[in-house]
Amino acid sequence: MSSTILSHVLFAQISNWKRMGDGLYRGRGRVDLIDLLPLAIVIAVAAIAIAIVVKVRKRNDMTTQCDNPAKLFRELCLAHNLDRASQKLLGRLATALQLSQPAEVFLQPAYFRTDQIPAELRDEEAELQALQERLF
Amino acid sequence: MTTGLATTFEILAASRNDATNTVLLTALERTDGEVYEGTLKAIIARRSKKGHLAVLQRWHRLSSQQREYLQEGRGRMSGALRDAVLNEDGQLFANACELVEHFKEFDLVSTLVTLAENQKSKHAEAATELVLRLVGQLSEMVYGKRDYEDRRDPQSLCRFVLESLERSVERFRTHKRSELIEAFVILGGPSNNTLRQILDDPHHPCYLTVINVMTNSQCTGVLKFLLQSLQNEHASLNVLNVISKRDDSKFVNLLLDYTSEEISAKMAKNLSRINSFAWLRMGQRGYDSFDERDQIRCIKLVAASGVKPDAFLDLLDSILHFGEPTARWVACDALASIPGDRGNHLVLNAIEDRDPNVQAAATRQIRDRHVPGAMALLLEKINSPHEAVRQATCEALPEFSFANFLAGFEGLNDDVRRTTGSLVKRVDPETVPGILAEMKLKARNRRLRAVEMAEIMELVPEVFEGLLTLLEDDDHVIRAAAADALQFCPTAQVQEALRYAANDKNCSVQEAAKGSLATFDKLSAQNTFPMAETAEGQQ
Repeated sequence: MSSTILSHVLFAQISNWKRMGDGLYRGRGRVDLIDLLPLAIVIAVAAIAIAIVVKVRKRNDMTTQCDNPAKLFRELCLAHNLDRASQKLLGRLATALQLSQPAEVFLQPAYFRTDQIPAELRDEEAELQALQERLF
Repeated sequence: MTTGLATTFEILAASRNDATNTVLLTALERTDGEVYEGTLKAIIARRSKKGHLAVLQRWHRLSSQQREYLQEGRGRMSGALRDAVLNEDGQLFANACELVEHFKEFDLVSTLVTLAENQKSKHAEAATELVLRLVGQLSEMVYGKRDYEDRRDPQSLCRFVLESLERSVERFRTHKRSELIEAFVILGGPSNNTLRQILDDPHHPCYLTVINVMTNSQCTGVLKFLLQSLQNEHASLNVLNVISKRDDSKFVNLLLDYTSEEISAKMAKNLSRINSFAWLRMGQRGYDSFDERDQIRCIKLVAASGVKPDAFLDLLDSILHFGEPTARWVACDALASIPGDRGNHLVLNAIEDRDPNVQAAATRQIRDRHVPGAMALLLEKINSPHEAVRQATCEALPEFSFANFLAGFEGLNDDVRRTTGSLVKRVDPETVPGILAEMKLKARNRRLRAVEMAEIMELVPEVFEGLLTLLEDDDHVIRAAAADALQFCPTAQVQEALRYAANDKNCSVQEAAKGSLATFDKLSAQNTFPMAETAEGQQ
């Protein structure tokens, strides 16, 4: 099988050029599906890669019209150059406060007040205070 | 605002993510201070009708500075304003109306007209009033001074608004909103076909409303319409009637302004179709309440109109009695175009006016009016202490010119020469130069006649230099006549010349010179000889 594959790849071999179509007629015109498997795998991997690239690009493309609260949250995080930890912390704050629009945390300084911080985030009060300073 | 907040609002104002609207609306309800201000600005900057409506809902609670933010977003808010105007919520409607008027949103006039016509709507009344106010503003833009900061073309806006108002006029039978007709009249000009059709058809359902608006509206558009109608080739008689009936000071002032300049042929034709003016009477809002300038202008206007002479004379009579000096002067001048006894009577009164210009104006026309005793009056006025009156008298006696006197001199006897000559020298300022010119002519008889005229007209002192020249004439008859005439000019210079002439080679000249010197001696004996004074004066 490997010789068959190589015979397709090594174009420089003149003798192989002459015999390039020989294999296809092996077995009286019947194609062995197992021979196409590598090609199918390559195509599938490429498609997945393209889909991922498109998805990632679309996720970070803020110029398209949409109605996506999470994307707005990301857009604001990017605008403020927040690192992943800060983004995650703000996201957790929005979840803990049960906000339907996570981006609201960028407009409500009150959410960062000590008495407003949910119990599960008390340990990170200092980080939240720093974020408040940065955002407001 | 901090950098962080500014970045947030920058993103929220420009984001294409519709989730932003929900976030901003939540913030508008729950925040205050800087965040509230930023939220407000971001909402206004976005093209979200829902967001704009939320701002409109709060308009009455916004500070003046916050209201300024809306000014920046006026172009984006039309949709929200339209929705707000059609909303049942009273507060939202009131806020939208205030903003529509503030922004001069003429695009909404058609919506407001529809609302005004809807008799079931509780906002119809307010919408009607708003249409009127907007049309008033537009009228000021069209007819007033252009504000170039507002880039909208007033004429285009006017056409757009007029279209919806014209449709409303067609539906007048249904809605019966006279204010909408008023709005239409304010904007429609003399060239508007619909308006012209209404004015030409007294049976049109809108006719009375239109006439009523034209008679009472203070709007610049209506006033301009009336005035411009005067320039129309075929001005409607109904419009001219309105012009004659209006006596409000704003319109009357504009009318007087409009007609104070040159009156064109078309305007003169239209004015001649007006037989009366409401202000052509005494009392409140009558011409006696006018200031001097307006009194003058109203005389000109009435003179150009078709007002009957009696009414015009009433006006002139009143102004001649109670008017200011210049107005009386103009009134007196205007009398010239009205013949008849009453006019004559007014002129005779005016000739005794305390103002010299009025006297002069009356004097100028007294002969042409064939007033009995005119000549005697003129002879009296020729001695007036006022130059203007004397000048007018001279103009009224054109036949008493030096040229005429010269031409007829030979045919007159001495008495007539004396009386006529006395008048001529006062009427015609060319008399003295004329006699001097005659004395220089080559024709002997002309020089001799000039000497005689100087004597008869008692002008010797005025022409003595010419006579002194004639004392040296080649012709002894002329020298003798000059020497004789000079007895009426007792000055040192003349006396010296006569002494020289007393030694003339011709005895008739000698005798004449001696005779004149003897007259001087007599005067000297009577101490009436002004020789010394004159000599001093000459030095």
